[in-house]
Amino acid sequence: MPHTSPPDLLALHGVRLLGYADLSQLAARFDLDPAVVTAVLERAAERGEVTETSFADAGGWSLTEAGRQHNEAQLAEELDAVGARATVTQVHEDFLPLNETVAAACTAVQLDPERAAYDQAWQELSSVAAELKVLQARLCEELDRFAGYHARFASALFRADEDRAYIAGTSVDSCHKVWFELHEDLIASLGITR
Amino acid sequence: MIRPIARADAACGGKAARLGALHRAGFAVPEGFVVLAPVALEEATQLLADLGGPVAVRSSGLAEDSAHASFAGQLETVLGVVEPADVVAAVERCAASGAGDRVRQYAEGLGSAPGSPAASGEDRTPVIVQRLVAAEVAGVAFSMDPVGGAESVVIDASWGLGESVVSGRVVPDTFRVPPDGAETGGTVPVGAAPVTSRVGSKASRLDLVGTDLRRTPVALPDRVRPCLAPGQVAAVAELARAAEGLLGGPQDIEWAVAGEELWMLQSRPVTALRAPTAVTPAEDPPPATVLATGAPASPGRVRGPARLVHGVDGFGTVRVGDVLVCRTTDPAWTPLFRMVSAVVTETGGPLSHASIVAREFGIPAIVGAAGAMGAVTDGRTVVVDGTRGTMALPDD
Repeated sequence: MPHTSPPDLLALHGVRLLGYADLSQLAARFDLDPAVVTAVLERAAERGEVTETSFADAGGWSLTEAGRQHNEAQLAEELDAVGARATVTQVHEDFLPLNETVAAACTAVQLDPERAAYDQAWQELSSVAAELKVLQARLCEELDRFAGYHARFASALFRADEDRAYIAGTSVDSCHKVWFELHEDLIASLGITR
Repeated sequence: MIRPIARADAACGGKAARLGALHRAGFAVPEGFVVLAPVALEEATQLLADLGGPVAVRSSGLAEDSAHASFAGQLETVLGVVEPADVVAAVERCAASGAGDRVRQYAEGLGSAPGSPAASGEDRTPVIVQRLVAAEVAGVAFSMDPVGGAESVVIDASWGLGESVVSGRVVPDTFRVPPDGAETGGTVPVGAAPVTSRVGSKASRLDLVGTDLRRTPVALPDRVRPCLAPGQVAAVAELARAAEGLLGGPQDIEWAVAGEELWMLQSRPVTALRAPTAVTPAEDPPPATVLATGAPASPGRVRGPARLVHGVDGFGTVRVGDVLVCRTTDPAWTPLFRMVSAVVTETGGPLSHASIVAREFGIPAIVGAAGAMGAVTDGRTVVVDGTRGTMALPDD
């Protein structure tokens, strides 16, 4: 039976994963009640763990250094309480070679506008998607908060033919954005750096 | 299944739907039709007669209209079609350029995704057949500045048909039009207007000569002068802003000037931001004082104040136009890329987060520049060359 993480962990973790996000994005990330997310963020702000800032026209929340440390402490405690550290460590190992493939495919699409390069990259990302499904299943057997990455990655791949921004774009839920978020999730959970 | 652009809707594909909306709102959109099925020879003859001259045939995108549809040259365009048989062939080529195969492959291999039209069998892309404007000057415009996201309209313009600019064939003139008349930093105003401009080499032009498309060299005097007068620059900027106002969200438009008329040819939402056109010419000498060297990750050359950022707690110090200098980046740093003019990281390679995101934003970047943070003081003006991989002091 997979473990469901409590809202106060998920609300802070959402800020870690999204990097910089407004309340509705944070609530949507783990399907939390916005009022709950607000309460968690306000308490975290009092502890100096999150800040609310404006960049150009948008406003959002991000973690401070202290917030990152608290987030990692919560994740580590949960990982060990549930006995999932070995699984997450192994998944991270299996993730790394795929990470090379994804970065190379995204870069190829960015640097070469020809259709052939795009098709080649798409095929590689498509193989990664199949592997991602398996990795995610292993993670979700222990912690259900890891759900969603494969569906988002596969959707991005599907939409990429209509709109190439879905390969590496930053303002849509692109393959690169989803993948990078999973990478952040794994390293935060394990308390390591890239 | 032929519909006038004026009545185009979402079923006609994203491009045609937007043109339809622009047409109905009174924008000067060249007359045309959306074709949803193969065209018979007699129909092609009638289309050419109705449109009164050579046409451009373009894919309109898949029937499922996405709010973020932008095609990055992936779908087909055929310019200057004159013969009915060629119209029939061009329509078929454009109709086949959608992703029908992919939809099937996806459905087989990856499992279901929301909104997949896999079951529908609708592989055919709607096609736009539109009168080709014999442009004297044409190009593109962003209704917001792709570098830094400020509210300026950025216009790339060159002589002849806009294909020269869209394809990257020429180095166009670039005009930056601020919203409220404020000066942008460090450049000379054109005339009395606070518009900044950079004249590009505009070495060749594509023109419709009778019924032929021809590319010819541009005469030297025309290369060195701006191809748009200040009044025209203002009109194009106004067109871009009006398109944004109608369609909602920043727009990437293609426009053309013929005689006294300014035409709106295409408009699409800005999603992936463009690579900069300021690529370092190979014959430029290397900088005199190089502070740090790294792998070129995203091309272009800019100058700005270096901003040393050690971690998330330092984000508040970053200002629009700064050169971000840091050890590494991750999703928390992405909003900074919207503001800065260049990125220098001490770690990483051309595939790392900073490289990929910098390219998405079209700003120069160098990565793996060991010691970069120790090589410059915070606030010092530097020149970052993402084509060469250097961060240097300005030569002046």
